[in-house]
Amino acid sequence: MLFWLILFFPLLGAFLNGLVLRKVSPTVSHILGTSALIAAFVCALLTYLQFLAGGGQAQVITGMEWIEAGTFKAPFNFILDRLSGLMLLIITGIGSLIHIYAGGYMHEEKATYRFFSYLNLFVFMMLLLVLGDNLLVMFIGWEGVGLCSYLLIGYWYEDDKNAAAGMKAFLVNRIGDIGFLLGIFLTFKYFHTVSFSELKQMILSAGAQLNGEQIEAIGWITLALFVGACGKSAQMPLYVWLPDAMAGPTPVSALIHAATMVTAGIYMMTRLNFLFYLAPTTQMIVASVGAVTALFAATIALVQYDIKKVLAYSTVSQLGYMVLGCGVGAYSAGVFHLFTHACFKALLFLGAGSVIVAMHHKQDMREMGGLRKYMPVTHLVMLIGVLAIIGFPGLSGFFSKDEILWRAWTGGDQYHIQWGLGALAAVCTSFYMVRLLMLTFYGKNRSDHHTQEHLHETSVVMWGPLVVLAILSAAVGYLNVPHIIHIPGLTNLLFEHYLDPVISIPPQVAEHWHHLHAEYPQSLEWAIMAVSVAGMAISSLLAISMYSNGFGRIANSLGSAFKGAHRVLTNKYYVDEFYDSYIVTPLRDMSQFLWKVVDVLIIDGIVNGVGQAFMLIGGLSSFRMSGSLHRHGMVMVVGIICMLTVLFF
Amino acid sequence: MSQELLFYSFAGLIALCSVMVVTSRNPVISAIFLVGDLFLLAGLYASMEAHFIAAIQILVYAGAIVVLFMFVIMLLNLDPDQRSQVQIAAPEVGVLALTVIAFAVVGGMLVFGQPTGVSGEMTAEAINSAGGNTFTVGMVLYTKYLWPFELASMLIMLAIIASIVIAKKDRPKSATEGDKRRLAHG
Amino acid sequence: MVSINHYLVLATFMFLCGTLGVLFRRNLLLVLMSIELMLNSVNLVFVSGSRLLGNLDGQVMVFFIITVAACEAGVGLAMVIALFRRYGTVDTNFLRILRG
Repeated sequence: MLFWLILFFPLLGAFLNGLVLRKVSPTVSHILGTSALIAAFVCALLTYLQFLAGGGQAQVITGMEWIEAGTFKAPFNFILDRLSGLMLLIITGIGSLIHIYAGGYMHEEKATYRFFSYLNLFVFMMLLLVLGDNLLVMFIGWEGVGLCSYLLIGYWYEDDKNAAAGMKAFLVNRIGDIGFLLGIFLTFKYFHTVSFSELKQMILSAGAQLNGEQIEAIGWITLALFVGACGKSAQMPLYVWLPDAMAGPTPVSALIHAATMVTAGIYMMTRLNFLFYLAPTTQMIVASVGAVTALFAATIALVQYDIKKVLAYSTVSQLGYMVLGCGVGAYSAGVFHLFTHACFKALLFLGAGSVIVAMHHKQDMREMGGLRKYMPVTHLVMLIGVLAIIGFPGLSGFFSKDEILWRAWTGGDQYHIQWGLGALAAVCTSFYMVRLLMLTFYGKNRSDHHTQEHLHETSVVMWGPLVVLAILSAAVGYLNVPHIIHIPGLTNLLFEHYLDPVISIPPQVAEHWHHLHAEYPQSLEWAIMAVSVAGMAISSLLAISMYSNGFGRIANSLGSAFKGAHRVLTNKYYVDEFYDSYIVTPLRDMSQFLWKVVDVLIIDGIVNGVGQAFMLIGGLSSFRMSGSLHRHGMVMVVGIICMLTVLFF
Repeated sequence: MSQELLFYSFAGLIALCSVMVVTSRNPVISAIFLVGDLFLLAGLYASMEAHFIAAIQILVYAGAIVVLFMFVIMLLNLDPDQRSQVQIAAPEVGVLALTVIAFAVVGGMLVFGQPTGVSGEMTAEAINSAGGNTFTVGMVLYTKYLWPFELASMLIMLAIIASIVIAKKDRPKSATEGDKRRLAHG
Repeated sequence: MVSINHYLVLATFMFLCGTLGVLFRRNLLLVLMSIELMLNSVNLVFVSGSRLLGNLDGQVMVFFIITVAACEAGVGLAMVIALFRRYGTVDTNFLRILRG
């Protein structure tokens, strides 16, 4: 019962806000939307505690029948296990905080019922995505969050740019969705089920000898599903929508484009980890894409001026880490980073949102600076967020990111390059995050007089959630302390063991993985950690020295010294331009050709031409049409007589 | 001999009535001659042992259809000058001649032709022994032609609906401007 | 017994009358009546053929023809009424909206 309420409350909130209470004041719609989510969070928490008290065994909750055709079955069944339970808490918990914050952020808007209705609907869809026990229910959620993302990116739809950004997100996701759909089709074709629990049982049961065809199919299935994950989780080459998605309100960026929706791909791969374990080629591709994305996006973030763009590329980069984690078989590390990232990235986005509100919706960091004076609380929480993301020892990012890098190094010799890329990306991360912090909160204020006058700390509605998130960002790392560090009273690798029932290595490859984990000495882990921390420290210091007082001498001279590189980075490697000229434009030209030439000229030409030919012929002979019935009858009779004459004689 | 006498007298009257239907100036007169025609034909059917057809010929044709014609004639209440006459103009004469000649040729062929065909078992005697014409026609109608029969009932229903819809008085105005223009040109 | 040729010739004559009526009468009601005449001549052929061949299918066919004729008369007369309402005439000389 409690379980169904988790799904019910957000849907109810969306329904009430979107369809019933459209005329109410923004405050009412805010309270309604937020309380719906808090109620869902309470239910989720109770369900989760109940679930843990019951031993934490995965259970399938049977819902109604949905699609049934022949041997194909896709009922509305839900799965409650340690993974989906954790996701439940992340989505509803962080979602609640962001909802509270959104009330402050959006209080000047007029039609906030729309905003909160979409947000509630998004949460419902996201819950459907993580709770569904089969690929099709997950796909509903998958598409549903995509829809809500589109609606919210284009929330300020009066501006064409925002609407276009929403459309871009939607269309790029379509490409990924094709992969996801193909994955579903292939899964059913080769395994005759789309249910996660049945699939898992089939793969893991020792008796089930997969034939060669199925093993080969797994490679294609995982690859297709990974394409879907690439779209949703903004990986190369489909990441381009996420930076543009920053056109939406900042709470949306925090909830959808940092904490929850973009992690759907990682969640999906973790959910199907037993399949990915059986596809080494796909894993290699996944790890490579993740590592390359992590570095690629991090380098772009180095030179961005828009505070939200920096965070957007940072999100892409961090998602790359998670994907890298999945690729090297460290699913628990990936999910752990998902968890910590949800906390500190939501914090960073919301903090940036506070800054943006204080700056009267200016997002350019060149006009900020010195905000520490005006917004002490925001400064403090942003500092914690930045330290968390750059992996400052003791904060959550340190534990989760290092875990991924360590697992990348130990995933096998073939993954050393990916580790290198990841470590380099970590260095970049420290640089651009510290740069963001310095440019925003330190140095002299560079804004104009009018803005400066109105700079002030935000209301408690806004900084309250930030404080909670800051505490979380600082603390959650201790859930998964690596086994080389001993903290009294704290079990090492708590989180990894927590997820053990979900991460199930198929018997065929089990030996390989156990073998891998055994052979590395502790000193190596210390060394890897030292490399990360050293890189972080050096690049942070560099950033501090460069940007401690706005754009210092070093920053400018570096910029001019590497003019070409700087320009390439500022223009984001010209990826958008590349897509535009090599994919979008040819597609549009082809569509234009198909429309203007094939459809209008040829097809319509033939159809209309036939009609016109008849009209022409008819027009030529229409002078004989007197309209008199008798004339027509006579012609007919004479014709019949002639025909009969010919027939008889 | 009496059969032939009957036929020739009926045939002569039918021919006369048919001509009168087509040529009389007043539609009421035409309708009356049409009724005569139909009754005489029913007589001929009866003489050919087709009692069932003779009965429905009188019931449906003479009793229903022609009455319907009469109703419409009365309803329209045409002016005498609107009761148009046979109209023969120059090009029509040729058509008239051609038609008449063609039919004369067909008639001539029929007079001298010999009918051929495979005889079925439903001779007059067989029909009588099987229970009479109406019974046997009914048997055929409700077994072999059951589905066409049902379709015919559908057709009648459609015709009823169509008649109501078409003849319904739904337009208060008599004619649009375009109609009037067309009429003026016509 | 009267030979079938007699019936056929009579039917031909009736059909001729009907045809001429359709072709040359300007009153729509007369046109419809002429069509009934033509249908009757066909019925006559069917019945006489049925008698000649000893096959009742011909008579059943007449039954269907009468059904169709009834429908035709009903719809046709409804159209005549509609036309008369709209144009105030049933003279085909004035009903030339099909003119090219």
